[in-house]
Amino acid sequence: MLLAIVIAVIKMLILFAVLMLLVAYGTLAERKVSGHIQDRYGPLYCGPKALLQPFADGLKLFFKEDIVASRSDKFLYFLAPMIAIVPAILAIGVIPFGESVTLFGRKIPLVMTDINVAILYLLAVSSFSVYAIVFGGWSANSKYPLLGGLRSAAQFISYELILGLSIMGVLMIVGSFSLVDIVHYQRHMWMVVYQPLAFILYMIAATAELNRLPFDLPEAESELVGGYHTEYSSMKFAMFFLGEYANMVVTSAVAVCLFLGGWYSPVAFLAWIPGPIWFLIKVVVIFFFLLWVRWTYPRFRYDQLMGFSWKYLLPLSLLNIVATGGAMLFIVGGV
Amino acid sequence: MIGWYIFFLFLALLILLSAVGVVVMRHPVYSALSLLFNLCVTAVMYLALMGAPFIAMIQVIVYAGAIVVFFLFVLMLMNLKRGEYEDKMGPWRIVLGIGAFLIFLLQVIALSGKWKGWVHPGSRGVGIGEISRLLFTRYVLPFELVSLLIFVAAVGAVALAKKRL
Repeated sequence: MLLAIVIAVIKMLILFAVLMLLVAYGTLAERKVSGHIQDRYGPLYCGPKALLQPFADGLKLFFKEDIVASRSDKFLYFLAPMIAIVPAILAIGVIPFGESVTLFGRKIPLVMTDINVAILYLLAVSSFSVYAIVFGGWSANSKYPLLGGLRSAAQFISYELILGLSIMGVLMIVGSFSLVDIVHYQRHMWMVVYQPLAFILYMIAATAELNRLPFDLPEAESELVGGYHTEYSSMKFAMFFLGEYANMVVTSAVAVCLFLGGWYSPVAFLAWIPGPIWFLIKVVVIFFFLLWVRWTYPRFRYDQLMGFSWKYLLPLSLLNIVATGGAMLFIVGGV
Repeated sequence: MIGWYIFFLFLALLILLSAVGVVVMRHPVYSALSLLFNLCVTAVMYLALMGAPFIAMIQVIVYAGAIVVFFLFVLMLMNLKRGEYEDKMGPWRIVLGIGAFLIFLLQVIALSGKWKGWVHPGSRGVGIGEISRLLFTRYVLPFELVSLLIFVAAVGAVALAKKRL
């Protein structure tokens, strides 16, 4: 009993440390990638290859003056940055990152907890991320944040639906809500081969949920100053920033589990590389993809954003479910 | 067992307090926050005490993920300042409150004696497979009728709003 608790705590600490490390270097990667895409160098001077830049940024944010907007609603103004980081940290609890390892004769599964409603849990937990933006936007009592929060609420309701429906095809094939079962199913073939449309829909909806370009209407710096976090400074702003990148890491990890074979190696002769390493590589690739998209596409207009979701993505995701059902009934035979 | 009992009392207290909060909070946004808290704690109760993980997750996805966000959207769209949301209901508020309480009491009386075996503290609960099997075999007609009802309600809402567009 005590040993089980110790193991759980160690796993928790490792997961949290890896998440925070990915977040820190995610911000550096964002600046480097954006620099090179725009034919600049990006950050250069802080440490070798600017590897100390994330820590310098963190230190700077710590020592900045913490300005509290005087007409703001204090309780929600303080609550919003706290909520921002919560969904990602809750979500890493169900993400499997490797097959079980045997240490001192004890079998330790490389996942915090394997519950039979893991996918639903992820959807439920991720639905809290919108409250940080909505409350942050409303409580500052200022025009631009309010518009940002408003846009975020509408955008979130539309794209949460697409996100949930896009996963359904995968669940129908595997027949389980557990992420571990889903990854085991992909031992020989990645799910993206059976469900290419679902993968595309998932990535679009996930980008929209993360409020990143081309769907970054809630912060839209060229029209709304900074959107929902205009009135935040110092560590409160950093919490929003942290939450955004942690959500990116978690979204990438979920995409890897659902569509890209989790911790399994894509080719047989590279199977000697341990599972967690493969998992990390795939997560970083998806993360890079998100950065790439952000610095390539222009922003949607607001009506285009809503129309795109309800007129194109929703019918497509329903079609995907019907097609998957039909294929399972007629080709595979039975459910 | 006594631990579960204390846990139940704790959750029940939170649920009741947040439900009262929805009604008595000064600002509508705080009422929405109270409602959100209430729905989440109810989900915890489903999960931990009734062994119903599926319904707990669906509760959070549907209510926290969509419905309360929608409430907040409308509240923010109106962006009420203090003093702009005066009580227009007057004495009706008390009448409606008593009515709601009576309906609640009737439900409790109607269900009393039937709820033994509903509570399974700490169990992993029934799987989604069993729930869906029941939904698509024994309860398929009510299930489809409910979906039709919701669809009609949605179409009706659009038809009503269309006049003012």
